[in-house]
Amino acid sequence: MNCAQTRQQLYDYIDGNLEPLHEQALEQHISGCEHCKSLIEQESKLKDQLKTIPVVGPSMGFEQRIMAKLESEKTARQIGEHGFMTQSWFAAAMGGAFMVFVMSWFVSFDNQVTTTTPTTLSAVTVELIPNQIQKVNLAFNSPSIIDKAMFRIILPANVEISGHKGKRELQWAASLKQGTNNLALPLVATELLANEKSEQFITARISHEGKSRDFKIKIVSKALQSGLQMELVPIVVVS
Amino acid sequence: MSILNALKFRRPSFEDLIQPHLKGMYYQAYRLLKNQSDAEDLVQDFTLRLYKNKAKLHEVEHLQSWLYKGLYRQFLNFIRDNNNNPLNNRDDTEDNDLESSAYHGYSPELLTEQEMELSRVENALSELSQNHHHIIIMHDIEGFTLAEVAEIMDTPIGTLKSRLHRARANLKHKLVMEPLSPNQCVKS
Repeated sequence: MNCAQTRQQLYDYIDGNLEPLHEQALEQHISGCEHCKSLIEQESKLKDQLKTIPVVGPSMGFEQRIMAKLESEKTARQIGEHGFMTQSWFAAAMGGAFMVFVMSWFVSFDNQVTTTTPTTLSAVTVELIPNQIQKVNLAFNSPSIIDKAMFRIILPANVEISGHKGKRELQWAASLKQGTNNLALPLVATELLANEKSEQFITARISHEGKSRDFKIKIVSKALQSGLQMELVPIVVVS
Repeated sequence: MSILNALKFRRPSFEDLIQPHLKGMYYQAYRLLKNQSDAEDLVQDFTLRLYKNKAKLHEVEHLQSWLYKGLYRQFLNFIRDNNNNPLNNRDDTEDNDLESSAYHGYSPELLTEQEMELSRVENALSELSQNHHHIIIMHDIEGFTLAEVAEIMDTPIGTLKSRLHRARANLKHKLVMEPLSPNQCVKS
């Protein structure tokens, strides 16, 4: 093998892709050729250097955050597949480990209906311990099937949906069935909540064919020793 | 069936399959994006997208390269979207600048000669064209075979082989051509 052939097969040699016979011939050549030997050494060194270029590792809790997101994606899928949570799912949630509070509205996109009225006007009080999930169930009573509606949850700065850290808005497409449609929101309060004095709202906005309805929950929060207390008040909707 | 048997024959869940690859995918994403937060977002978005077709995961034979292929597609979409968004471009540049200076601490007196060489290699690598940059990351750094890279990049193996040779030659050219490389410095 000569120098030109060696240069031609240089990369295959470094990558270990040469047939044993060619490899042997190349090694025989470089044992007697300082120039080709140094060329191979340079290339090998460069390849080693490439592998040692430093990388910044992921931030703390990276894997846990993704796994939590997956968990909440499972919930979102149930919404996507079935429009909203089914009654049986809702019943199971009621019997589960989490406390679930229900607020119920009547929703219609009919032009005849000028206001969308909360059917449950009483406020519920939820105690939120920072960084722990509390499920709040919203119920939407629809007089008819509403296909391909767009659902958007708009959150205040101090409340997040589990698995969606830092997100102030979440949006997805869903259909409403006739009757009660349940939506469980796994809410998490952030530390900021204790210092929050102004009035805050969680808004569920349903849009359909260019029209939209806002369903608001007023949050009245106060700091407790163990965490925070939020009073959730369903209010009349501004369309 | 006993509980042990039931556990033994339980089909691995999506989470079981994906979790061991999350960190690996992050490093792959980081090498492409050079930004921790973007790399984390990319892996997260990709994992969530994958979850929507989770049944596929059970059919995949070589999961690592299959995941990289999907991640690479997601990365190409990400940079395409970011290039279309001037706000994102501006933010990314700032983040990159801050992060790279904070991480590398490019204060000449703090860098050893070896570190300087590595930072030269890194800079030269980032100056390569996208295709050359990516093939070196995948083949020379991540260690995928050319056949695997062909699958990931959806490009014939012959094309990739000559591309890899050109990429390496370009990289070397950039390193040699760079002014004030350690070997060229004149010691007083």
